[in-house]
Amino acid sequence: MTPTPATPNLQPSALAVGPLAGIRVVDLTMAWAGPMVTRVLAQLGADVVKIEAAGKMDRWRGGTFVQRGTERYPDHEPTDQPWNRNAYFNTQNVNKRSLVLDLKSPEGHEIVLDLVRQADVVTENFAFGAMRRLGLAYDQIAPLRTGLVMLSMPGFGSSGPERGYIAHGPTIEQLAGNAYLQGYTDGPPQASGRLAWGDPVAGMTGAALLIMALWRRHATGFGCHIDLAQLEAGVLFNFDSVLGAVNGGQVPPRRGTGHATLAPHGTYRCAGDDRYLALACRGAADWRAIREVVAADALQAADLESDDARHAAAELIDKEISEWARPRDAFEAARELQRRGVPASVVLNAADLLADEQLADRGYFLDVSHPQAGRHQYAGLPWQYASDPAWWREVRPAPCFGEHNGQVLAELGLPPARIAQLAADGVIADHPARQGD
Amino acid sequence: MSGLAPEETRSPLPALGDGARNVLEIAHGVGGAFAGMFLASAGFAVTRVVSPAVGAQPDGFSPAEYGDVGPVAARFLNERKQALRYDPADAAARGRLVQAVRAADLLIEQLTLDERSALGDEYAEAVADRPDLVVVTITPFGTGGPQSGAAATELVIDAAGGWLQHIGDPERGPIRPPGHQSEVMGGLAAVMSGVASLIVADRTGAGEAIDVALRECVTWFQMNPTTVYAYSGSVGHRTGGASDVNYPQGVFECANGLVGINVLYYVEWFRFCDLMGREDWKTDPRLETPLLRYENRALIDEELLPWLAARTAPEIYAAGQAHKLPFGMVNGPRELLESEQLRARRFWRTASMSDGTEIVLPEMPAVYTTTDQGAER
Repeated sequence: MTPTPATPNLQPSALAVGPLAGIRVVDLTMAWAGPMVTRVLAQLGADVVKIEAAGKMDRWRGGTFVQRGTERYPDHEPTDQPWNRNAYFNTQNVNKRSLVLDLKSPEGHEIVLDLVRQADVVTENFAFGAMRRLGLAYDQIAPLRTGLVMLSMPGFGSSGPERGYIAHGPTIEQLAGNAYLQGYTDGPPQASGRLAWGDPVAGMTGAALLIMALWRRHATGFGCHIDLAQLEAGVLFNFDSVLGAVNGGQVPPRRGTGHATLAPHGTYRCAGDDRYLALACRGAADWRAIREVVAADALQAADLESDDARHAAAELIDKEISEWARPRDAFEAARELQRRGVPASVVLNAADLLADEQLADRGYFLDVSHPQAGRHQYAGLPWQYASDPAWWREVRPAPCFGEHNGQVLAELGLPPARIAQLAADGVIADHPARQGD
Repeated sequence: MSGLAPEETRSPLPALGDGARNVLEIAHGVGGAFAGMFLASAGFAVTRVVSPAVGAQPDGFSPAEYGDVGPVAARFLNERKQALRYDPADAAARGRLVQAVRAADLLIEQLTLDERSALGDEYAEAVADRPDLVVVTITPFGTGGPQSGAAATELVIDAAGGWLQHIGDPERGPIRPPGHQSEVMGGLAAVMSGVASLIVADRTGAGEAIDVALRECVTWFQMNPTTVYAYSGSVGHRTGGASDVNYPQGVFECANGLVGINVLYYVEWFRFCDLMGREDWKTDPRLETPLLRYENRALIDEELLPWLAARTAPEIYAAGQAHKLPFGMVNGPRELLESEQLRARRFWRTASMSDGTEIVLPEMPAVYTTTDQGAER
């Protein structure tokens, strides 16, 4: 059983606003890794102004015409503004504001510098060198704002012989060793398919590093530039496999669903379309429960009490569990094993997750109404607060393209006539130029 | 053994000084230890409770699912931490634990019910006595909800989080990601949530209790499949490591093994056409979008597969990157140690095990420039 956490006697008003309320973020990131970082900041209360360009909007808006099928659009309908209806973008950018600005124009450059002068954080995930060409490298903008924290996320980092190389999430997965280590026991390395593994790896790592830098700023008053190499973040995600191998140990074999020391440990086909049960045995107690549930003669007769014995007999055990599972309902099988304390779960798909009672009970999914995409549930952040603050549940939808141009510029002190002129001159925009993703 | 020169070390962040708050880590697994490791690297004063009673051994963890975490990996997780030995039968040790709670600013827990019980009432009372304390609890499914007590290992967490559904071949069963990645995610989530609340606690004296669920970390890690289902009813499946809405993207065979070929975005498709010497593809309506390129991939394969077969992985990597294409080597762990890029960034460093054996460990995945001490490299 999971224990009730040790809890301090909290005051009810412990967190009336998000812990990062008051932090201003100039967000120059796009796609996944960078926006994942700023999504964390935004959901923790920071004011994140996301900057895109009319000719180069965030790739996760999906371009101005359909690129990769229609499944990312509500009811498969891209409509005439698909960039405001893309599931990927709308998940990643909740709680942010949108400013569409031509950074290469003198006026646009001045505006972004004005934003930096009021900012606490700047984030970017351009390829190495792009920020310097824009006049926005850390040494160029740090003098504008005391204590500025900046996160850069080039694939390879901002130094080294490959710093100018291009990488996306799949590249990082290949380079960092994850594809090599992942696969069937009898098969080649296998990448993660649609999941651009390197992106959320860098996003989670970047968010943690950035918030630690904000602590440092809070405690010392000093800012810093964080040069996060996505490749290095990827290596750390498999630190255990990598460290053994680079220190004279074996390179771990690809294990499919297996485990180095536990058996049985795998997924087993059940009744229904693509239904699988995942099951793990942590030791003798789990084994006795599994044996009781599966009730196969071969498992009763064999001496399989020890971990080593079960590992040696893993093929036989897997065969017996497979035969037991095949006609069964996966959910019922998992419940039966869990009732006996055995780690087990259905291999859940997206529909299952949205219907899952545990996630619903915890309020994991966020119910958000978007002006162009409608009302849907979005994946939340993976923690809850004992004080259950209201701000944690009150989430604004991802911004439409250029939705906050006027608001952000007015906050900088620009009068309406000037803002209208900037729009007429194409320095700001609320409609993208035709483009792919 | 490593071939690393002693001077090849990455400069650390300047010390936090008075900002170095105290972190108490009581964790039987990788998640809590990873969080502690990250915080220690940033200058926090991390104390790790070491005791069989809480599943934390000097050189690893008691629970069987962490039996594959080797001594070097454990050394990496636990460096820069102070150890607090705890024995529930020893009154003095219990007193030291209570003192550690009183001194802590951030408490990271990853415990089972039995392990919590082993810490005793004095521990719970000491925590309750600290309204300014930030407590982060890491559990498989969270501390509340109907499945909060469900038995779990990472395989089950990855299955319940929706990850396994997407890894593997369409005609075979799912496979799991290597290592302890959901635990690493949990550790990072603990850092994000815990340090953000620590800023508030430091300003206001108001602590917080934060409940990190590893299963939710996994669901968040993928993020998109549930929104896609909510939007259009489409359910993702295993695709054999490739994309089923874009081409070419994935791991391909070449003259001496495997190489990563990734042509993800619009501009990259045009660069790829240049690399292949197929100007005509840029205007071929059969290849206009990523989805059309996937559906008509046989056209591309006619050119691409012989091109790959005639070249080695390093040649392909270099040729792709020369065209600003995000191609990648399919590196194994040992290739990472030899990587010129990682060496130039001083990512690897040498350290010693307690018996004096030299080992290689990684740095944190970032290089810092600070405004208080100027450029550090």
